[in-house]
Amino acid sequence: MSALLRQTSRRIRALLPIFSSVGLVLFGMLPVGLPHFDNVAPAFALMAVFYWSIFRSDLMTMAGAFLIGLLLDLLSAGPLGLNALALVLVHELGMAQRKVFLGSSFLVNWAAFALVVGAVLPAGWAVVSALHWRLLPTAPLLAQLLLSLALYPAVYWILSRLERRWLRTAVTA
Amino acid sequence: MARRTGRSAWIAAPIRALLQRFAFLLLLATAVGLILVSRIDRPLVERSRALVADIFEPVLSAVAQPVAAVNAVVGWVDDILFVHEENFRLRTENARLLQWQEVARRLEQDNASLRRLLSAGPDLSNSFVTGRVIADGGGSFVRTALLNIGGKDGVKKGQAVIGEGGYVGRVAEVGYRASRILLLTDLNSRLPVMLQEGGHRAVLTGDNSPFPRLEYLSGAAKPAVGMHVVTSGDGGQFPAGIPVAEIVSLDGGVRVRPLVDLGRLDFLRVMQFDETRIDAEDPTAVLPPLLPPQAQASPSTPQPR
Repeated sequence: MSALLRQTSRRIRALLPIFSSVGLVLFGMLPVGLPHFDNVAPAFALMAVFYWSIFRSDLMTMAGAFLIGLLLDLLSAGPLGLNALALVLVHELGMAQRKVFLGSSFLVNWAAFALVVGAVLPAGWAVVSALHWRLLPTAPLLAQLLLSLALYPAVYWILSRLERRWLRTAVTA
Repeated sequence: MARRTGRSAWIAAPIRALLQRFAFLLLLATAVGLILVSRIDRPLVERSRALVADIFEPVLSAVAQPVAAVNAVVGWVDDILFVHEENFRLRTENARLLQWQEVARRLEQDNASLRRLLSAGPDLSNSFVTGRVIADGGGSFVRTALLNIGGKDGVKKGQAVIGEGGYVGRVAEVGYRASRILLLTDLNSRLPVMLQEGGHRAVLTGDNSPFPRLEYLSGAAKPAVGMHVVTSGDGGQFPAGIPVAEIVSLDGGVRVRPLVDLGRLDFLRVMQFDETRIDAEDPTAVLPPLLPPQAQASPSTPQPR
């Protein structure tokens, strides 16, 4: 019985990367009225997928990243598939470089996140601009970039605490 | 479990390796395909969006309440900090409004007597459903909000959404218990409007910036900064005269600022203006008879004597 309980607990804990990402997606949707930011939310889903694809790529699978992006697309009413595409790319980037990041400091991780977010968000802007065949305003894009960069340390801290608390023992999918 | 080590594993293993190798490309292709499908089959996408919004409505509603409480506390602190200025502003405004009240009373009487003279039908009555904003766009490409009311409350696609001070947007997708509003600043928003002074028609076009553009304004119109823009009612989805925005700039096209602060939406009203419904219940409310009732009773053409 206790073996079964342990296994169930392991199974549930293995879902932490996905659940925390979904939680962050919902958190980003909250109608918080930040002055001067005009409904722009930081790219929380991108942060979560980037973090988990480096530190627990076994639990944050590529399909998981895709589904989180799809959820974000469906909830946020943007072009369907755009965030799914972006998060699959982020997952691939994180996976490819994870050996570099695993031993390095937080600052290196933050700089890498800056590169990723600085590439993915403008690319998304370009795709949506192309779909509408006009240049969209760049101010919200810039605001989202800066907000995401500024809030990444907080998200990193929370996720690493969660990881240490719930995934310290060897949990596999 | 033991079976997997047999022949099937021998066949499955290379396929699995191949799949994993191409999973990345597969998911990329799926995502691109979705982007294309969402451009073609909009009803399907709208239905799936409404379904997902319905599923997450309870969670978002529950979390939106403390958020609203925090926003309220911030507003309360703001109120206390600026209480003197606010008081002064309200006093002057009150004095001005009392004058207007006098004018309004007189106009109301005039209006009533003129209506009697014309024997015109009553104004179309609108009913409202109130909902709370539980999520906003959450991206930098759209200007939408999610409301915690839907089909079960009588919300229908295309209805006007009114905030404190005027028009906010229209209902774009309806689920059972949640609905999505397309704000008037969104790239896809086109709103038939008119200038309050003169009644010149135009189309208010959103471009994701906080200041939508006034397009197709006739050359005879003389827009000026500070002039108000109201709905024209063209298209028949909602009545004319809902306050929308104020003109803020004229150089490089006419730009307006919405009267409602779209960055701080909380409770909103959905206007249930349905011409077909009113038509079915009371045809005279929409189209008053051309001849007064007494004239209808007698023969319409005068008989020669």
